[in-house]
Amino acid sequence: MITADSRSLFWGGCILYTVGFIYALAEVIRSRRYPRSVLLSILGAGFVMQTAALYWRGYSMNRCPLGNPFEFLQFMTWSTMLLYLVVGPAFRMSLLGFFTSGLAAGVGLVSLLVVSWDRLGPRGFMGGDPLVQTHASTALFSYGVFGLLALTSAMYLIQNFGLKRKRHRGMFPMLPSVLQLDQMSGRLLLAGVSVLSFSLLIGALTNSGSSDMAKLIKLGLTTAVWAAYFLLLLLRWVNRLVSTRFAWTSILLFLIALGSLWPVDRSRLAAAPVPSAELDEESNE
Amino acid sequence: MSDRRKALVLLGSSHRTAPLEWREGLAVEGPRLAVLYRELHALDGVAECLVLNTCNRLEIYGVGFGDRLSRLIAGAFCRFQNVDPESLERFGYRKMGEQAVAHIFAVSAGLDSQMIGETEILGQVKDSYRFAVDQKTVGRFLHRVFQKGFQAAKWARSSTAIGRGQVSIGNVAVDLAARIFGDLRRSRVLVVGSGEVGRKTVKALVSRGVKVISVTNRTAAAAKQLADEIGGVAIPYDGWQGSLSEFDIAICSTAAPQTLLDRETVAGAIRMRLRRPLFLIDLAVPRDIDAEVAEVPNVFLYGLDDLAAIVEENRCARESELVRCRKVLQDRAAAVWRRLDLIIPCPDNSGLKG
Repeated sequence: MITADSRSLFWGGCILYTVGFIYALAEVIRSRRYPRSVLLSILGAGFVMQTAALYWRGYSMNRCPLGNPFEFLQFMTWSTMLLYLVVGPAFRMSLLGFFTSGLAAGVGLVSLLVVSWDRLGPRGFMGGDPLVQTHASTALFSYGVFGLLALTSAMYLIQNFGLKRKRHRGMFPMLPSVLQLDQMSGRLLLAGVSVLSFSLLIGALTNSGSSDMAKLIKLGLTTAVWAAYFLLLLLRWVNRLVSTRFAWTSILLFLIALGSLWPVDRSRLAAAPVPSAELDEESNE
Repeated sequence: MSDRRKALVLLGSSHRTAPLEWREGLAVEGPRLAVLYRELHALDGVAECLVLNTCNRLEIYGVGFGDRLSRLIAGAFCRFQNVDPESLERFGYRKMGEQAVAHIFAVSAGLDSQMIGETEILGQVKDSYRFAVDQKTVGRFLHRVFQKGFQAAKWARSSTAIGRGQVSIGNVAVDLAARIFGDLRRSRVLVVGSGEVGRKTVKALVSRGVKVISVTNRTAAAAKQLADEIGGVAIPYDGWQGSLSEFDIAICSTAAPQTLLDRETVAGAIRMRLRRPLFLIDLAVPRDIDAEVAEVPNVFLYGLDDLAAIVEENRCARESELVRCRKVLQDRAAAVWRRLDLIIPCPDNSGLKG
């Protein structure tokens, strides 16, 4: 079965992310810096597997693999990992791999274990319109960027806590400096807002074929997420929201953005239920 | 020679066995060191030798044959340096074979240093080894012992906590600054006052690449003197608080009886710093900075007690690793000594003099 095969690949990717996380965790517990190349290799292998899974899923369903919450989450963690693999070696931020692998493994495991999230979607969903698919995938990609922003914000909060409370053992000395983390968070926020703006622009030019109500809910929620992040960017720009308050807000907004995917999915499902014949056809493959 | 058994002997004296004033008489400086090497190597029965000469120790490693080897080396050194042999016996130590190997392993790893786990000693051992190689007094035996010693030191540094955490106030402050700013080369430092600990702290920062340093003091001449010493500039004392926002790190170590920085002043400075954090180091007693300043977001305040507590904790952590580290190095030394047993040339074709 095509779906089962892609799930095996998703499992493979997730297991590799988990192995990477456990390996890094073991080193962190022993207050040792793990060799970056080892973790990058493990996560790189997981990423290749997850990419193959997403490709396989998209190919078999003849659409972008963004048809259900499971696929949302997998695509989002894939985006976060892609960004880490690009950003991590360039900026050499220690422990970013540890946190990224933790997020990818955690979200990946939950999404795989809750089987009902991975319900069959209709073939050729989104009407096969490349613009709609670009809109959806870039929107989810921006969520991946915001995911990495939430991670750097969490790292900032931990380092800040350690410095304020005079903690200097364990993982604290291994984390990047608060200044580096803050600068990285700023860059990620700008990147995320830019990608989401682009996505909304593309979305505005298309007609996804969904009912008016589903479209309205999706548009409303996505715009709200965009507006919230844009406001965060503005407040940071004018130095009204900085330091720990900025970091907490980044994490909170990411959780809200993540939660907003479910109402979008529900409304879309209600507006365009999967025809039973199509479901039967999928199951028989 | 009556006895042709191989021997590795170590004769030495260090801060652990001798007072400073006596150790001063042992130091062999400059060109005399080469002369000492020549004299030791010329001794009948000495095949290889190496002198480790640091501010805290003088050790002579000799390889040769015969049970009189150590007495031979000690006599030659005492004559060369005009040292009373009885004093050397009293303030020195002598180790043979495996124990000598274990000793150089421990020394290289910093286990025998005044500041346990310090790394400077490894560089000094390497320098001594290189010098001895240049003097052509190192053969297969000492080469192997010292190379294994460097590996042992590397192992101790990377696999144990013996060198983890700084054990001086200045270096602890530097580590904290790195946790706040990362690369310190672009950090701007303000030094208020000229206390001794503050002076050492700013020197530690300079050693990590800090280039922009301003010094202020109630006495302009004192500020100028310190600025010249550390490569900074002196700025007027009056109103220095107003320029606080221009600096990343401020080190206060004045003798002022009241606090010089309060929460409002620091909060005002941080607002002007465009998201850049501020690291305040208060080394003064009584304190120069109001404790409430620590509550200002993006400001990190560390006092003398905070830094001293970290130093003490790190020192205790290093000491707790000492026993385990010594045990492993002893085992490694035993293994190396067993191997040396196999590779040592036979007395008849060893190439030894005499």
